[in-house]
Amino acid sequence: MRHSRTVATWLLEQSRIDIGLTGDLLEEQANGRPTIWYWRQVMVAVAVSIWGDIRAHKVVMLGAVMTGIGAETVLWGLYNAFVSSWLPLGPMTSLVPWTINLLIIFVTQIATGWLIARTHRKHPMPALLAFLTFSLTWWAYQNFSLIRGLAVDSIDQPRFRIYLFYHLSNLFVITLSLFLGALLSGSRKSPTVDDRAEE
Amino acid sequence: MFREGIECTRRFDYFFYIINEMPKANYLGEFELLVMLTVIRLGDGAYGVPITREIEERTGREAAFGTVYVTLERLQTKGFVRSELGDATPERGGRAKRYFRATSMGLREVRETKRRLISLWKGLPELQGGTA
Repeated sequence: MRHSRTVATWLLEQSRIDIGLTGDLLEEQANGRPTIWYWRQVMVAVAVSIWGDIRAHKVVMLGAVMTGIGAETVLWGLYNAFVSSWLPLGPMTSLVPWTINLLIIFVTQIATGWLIARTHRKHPMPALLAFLTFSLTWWAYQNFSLIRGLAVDSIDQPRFRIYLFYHLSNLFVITLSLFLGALLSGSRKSPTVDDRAEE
Repeated sequence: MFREGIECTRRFDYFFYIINEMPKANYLGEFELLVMLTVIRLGDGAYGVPITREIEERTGREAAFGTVYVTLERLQTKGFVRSELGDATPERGGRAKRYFRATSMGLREVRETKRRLISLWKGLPELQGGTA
């Protein structure tokens, strides 16, 4: 219970949330509000803060998406030029190719997340979320039929589940790595209501 | 045809002028009015915790601190409230309280909103009688 509150507080501190709001939630938590209430308030505060940033800085968010696309294009080019020929051959769902694939995704997405957060220091998380939304939408558009087919086939044919898990694991690692890259960039600044009012 | 084109362009300019000016209108939304009245009611002690608790007590619904703060930010941008940092306490993890206070412009806007609402309320037979 205490550990989960610590995680919620950490999330609050990572987001671009006013110092007064953070203090208020901690005060209410100290006054005996339940953990579930605290988590709910933290999630709303984080979501409202990020959404507000995205709405207020649409051009900046578009820039973040462009930065991400540029980074991915360069990384993909480097991968094709120098890495892909060295990879071991084999079915994509066997252990070695799968692990190497996840590792490549992990490293490249950390780099992309780092770059987006670094080039958008004032709004790192909203910028990252804008790019992540674009990426996931693009991924869904590219793979929707495949994933739908695998999901339906997996219900009564277990041999397809591994392929579904393969694609979903890629998605999970992409999301996790982008956030990790953004966190590693260290682009965090606790703004105040005054800063946001001035913007 | 050339004159029609010019006239059409002027109309589009006027149309976009209205669209651009609309968001600048300083009307108080429902929740903004709720928050303003709470800030005025609490006076010197108006910071996040008592503001949100007062709103919860008055409306009978749980209010999200994040939503209250976003509303206060918006009110500050419009010039209806101002804020200042106060004392920090250990239970707040050493973070200062942010106190809010209505400005004279904010008080004027609340009075104007009250006047508008009363004028709309008057003379409606469906709303006559009953408890206030």
